[in-house]
Amino acid sequence: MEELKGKRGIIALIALIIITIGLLSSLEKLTGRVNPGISEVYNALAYLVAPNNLATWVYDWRGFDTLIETAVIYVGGLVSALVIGRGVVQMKKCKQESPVTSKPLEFRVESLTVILEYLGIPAAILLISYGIMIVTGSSTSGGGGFQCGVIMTSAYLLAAILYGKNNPIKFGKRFIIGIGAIGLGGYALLGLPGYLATGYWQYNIGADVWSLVPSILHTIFGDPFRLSLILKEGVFYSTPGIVPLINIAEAFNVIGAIGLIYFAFLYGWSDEGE
Amino acid sequence: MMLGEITPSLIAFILGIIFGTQLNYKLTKGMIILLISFSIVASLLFGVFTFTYSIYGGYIAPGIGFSMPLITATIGIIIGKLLKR
Amino acid sequence: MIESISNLWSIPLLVIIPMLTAIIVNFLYDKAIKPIAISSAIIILIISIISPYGYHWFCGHPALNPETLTFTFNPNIFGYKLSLEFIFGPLQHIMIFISSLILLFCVILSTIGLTKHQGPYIALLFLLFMSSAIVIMVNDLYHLWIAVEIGSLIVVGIAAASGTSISHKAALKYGLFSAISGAGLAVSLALVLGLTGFSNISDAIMYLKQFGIGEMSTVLYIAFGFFVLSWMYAGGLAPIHPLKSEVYGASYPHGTALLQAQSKLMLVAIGIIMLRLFGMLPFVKEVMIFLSVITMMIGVIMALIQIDFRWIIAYLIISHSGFVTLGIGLGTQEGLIGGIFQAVNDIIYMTILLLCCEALFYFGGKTSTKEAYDIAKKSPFIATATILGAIAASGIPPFNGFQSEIILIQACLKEGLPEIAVLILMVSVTTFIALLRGIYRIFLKPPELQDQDNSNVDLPKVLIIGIIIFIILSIIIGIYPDIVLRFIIPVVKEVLSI
Repeated sequence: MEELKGKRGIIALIALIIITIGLLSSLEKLTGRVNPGISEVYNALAYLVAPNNLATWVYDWRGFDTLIETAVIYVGGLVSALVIGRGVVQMKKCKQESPVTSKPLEFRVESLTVILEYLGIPAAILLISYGIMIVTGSSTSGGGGFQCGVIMTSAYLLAAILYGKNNPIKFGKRFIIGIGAIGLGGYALLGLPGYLATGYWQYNIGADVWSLVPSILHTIFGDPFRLSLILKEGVFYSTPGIVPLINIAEAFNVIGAIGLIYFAFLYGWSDEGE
Repeated sequence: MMLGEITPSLIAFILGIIFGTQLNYKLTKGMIILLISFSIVASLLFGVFTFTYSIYGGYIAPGIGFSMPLITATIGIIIGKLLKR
Repeated sequence: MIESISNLWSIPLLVIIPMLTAIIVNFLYDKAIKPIAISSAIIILIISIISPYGYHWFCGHPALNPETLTFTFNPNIFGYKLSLEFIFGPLQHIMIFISSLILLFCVILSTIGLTKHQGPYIALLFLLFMSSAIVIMVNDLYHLWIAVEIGSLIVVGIAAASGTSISHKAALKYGLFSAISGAGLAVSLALVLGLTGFSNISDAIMYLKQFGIGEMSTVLYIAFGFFVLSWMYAGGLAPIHPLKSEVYGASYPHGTALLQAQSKLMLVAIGIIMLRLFGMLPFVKEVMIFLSVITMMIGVIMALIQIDFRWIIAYLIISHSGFVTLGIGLGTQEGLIGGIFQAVNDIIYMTILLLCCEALFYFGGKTSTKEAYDIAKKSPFIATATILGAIAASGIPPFNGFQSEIILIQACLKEGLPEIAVLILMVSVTTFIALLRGIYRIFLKPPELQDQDNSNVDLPKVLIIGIIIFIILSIIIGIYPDIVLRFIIPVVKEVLSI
């Protein structure tokens, strides 16, 4: 960071100190006086959707926010791979300098011990099953699409570190990009049933909190995930509706995006062959 | 018993098959037994999902419960791998 | 005017269609991209033209009326919104129409002019349009933040797409620093959310008006500070101008056309939100005016000393962003009208110049003003169009730049700021000088060495059509400014009535 040496660095430091003081003092002022606002209403209504309140917040009340945030991860993967060399474009009609690309990493896996060689692959496979378990439990217990994607891609990374180029978890290029496309596209299209039925994009027709859809749709999308909630206030029958499906799409998208980043950074990118 | 207790295990099975087809490793019989037994132990450690009250959901007795999706996902991965061959 | 619909059909389509197109073309990577991309750009353009006005509450949750404690789906009855609210009104209509027009030409030009494997690049163009459409339509702080964040990530991608070391450098710098923009907005959002409890902007304003802030005004000031930070980064205002102008200079000109449209949209959208949220605090407008004046001056001075036509335009875009923010910063009716009108005009005449710049790539891609190329002889059309674009950018009648600048000058005089009015005039004149210097060297001056090939160059027809359309738009708006002003004036009245 050449730019931050000398006078500029001092100015930046002073600005940082002023910002920090301002921020800390305002946080101190807000302590104990944070206004609950709309979140009280959200909390009061939460039991109507998923048993896990967090899942309701992220995928139902603010479900469309999460779609665009998921797209941030997708774009992150896309741009990172672009920088490595996937999809670099040049003008046909004029000569430019040749694009910057990065070479694949060099692996040295000869030094792998016997224990790692035998236990590495079961560990990676069990990590994948763990990721799948996490995504299926999204609406009842902690977990969800983001976490699942991160766990699965860490299994991929683990296998890549242990086995190098002969990665036993062999996500191909088209598989990774395809799964990302299915993930984000699927999430986006899960809004369509609600849009067609009520006019509101991504209305959760499975949970149908505001009774806007015919009961047949409510049954199709809601019943597969219906659970009985035995609480001290009584027994409730609640279904998260499309929330579990959204989580699976989310997981696919994260696997696609982070997997693409890992793939491109580890093995480089060449446009030839699969 | 509600459908919501079975569906996660089914989904886990299908996802397992999808990702199992991407494995590029020769699974021996010993490895399959190792994987399944490990997954059963792990599912016992993780316990059941909240609000599942049946043997399908994994709840067997107070304090004992299996996280069924973990087991079905592992089985799915193995089957997916065998399908690919 | 805006109907009482909370489930307007067009709003989700304007966001989802570009997203799905981006996913598909990114997956296809190479084959069959052209028909899909072009047809969906046309569909977006049509939707942006025919869409009625209204609201969309995503996820379909109603608003809670605090007095009666009843839920309603009618957006005209006041209530705290449980869902995420998007608005499609006159402002959104004109802004999204122009960006989708640029998107269409961008997509066609990139499918014609670029080498294969265009999937990711065209995907980024569509996502850039999506992010700017979200920024201009959204009425929610939290979602605004996400849109700004995804927008800056996409800008990085578009800048890096040519794969040259210059573009990588520009992309890296912008990527590092634009993270601050997103983070600043996030902190600001957190503070406003802590104060009011509402992420919907109208609800937050309503709460602040009803209950006041009293001693908590310092918190609001800090929130404003972070908002300004993100405004600066998003629009490339001084002192952040080098980052953004490098991105403009390093991207392909058609990409820059879309980038500058997105950046103007962000400036307008965030500026109006700042005015609505913080307008009642003292000094807020002064800060905004100060930043604008500095940006105007530095941008145009930097443009004067550039030796590459693309970089001259890049710095002029920055400088003219200052006009937009100046109008919004004045906060009066004339000022706001002038600022938003200037944003529209700016997008149009800069697109003319950038498309002409794109044409230079077909003549060998040399844009340095150190040498002379005599392009006017090879293509009198491009030379004429560039000169017309320069005239429009300098605010000379009968082109559109004149109309908005005169409104801005009048607004400054009315506010008792004759100095700034003079400054606007000076910046306009200097713009002309800076552009003419480049135009003379590249288009008019005969080359010193006669070794250049005189082979005929076929410009793509779409490029010529695009340039003609934007010149016509520029002239029409210059003669009948009312066709744009009738979209802007009701919005301004609504903003000021809050």
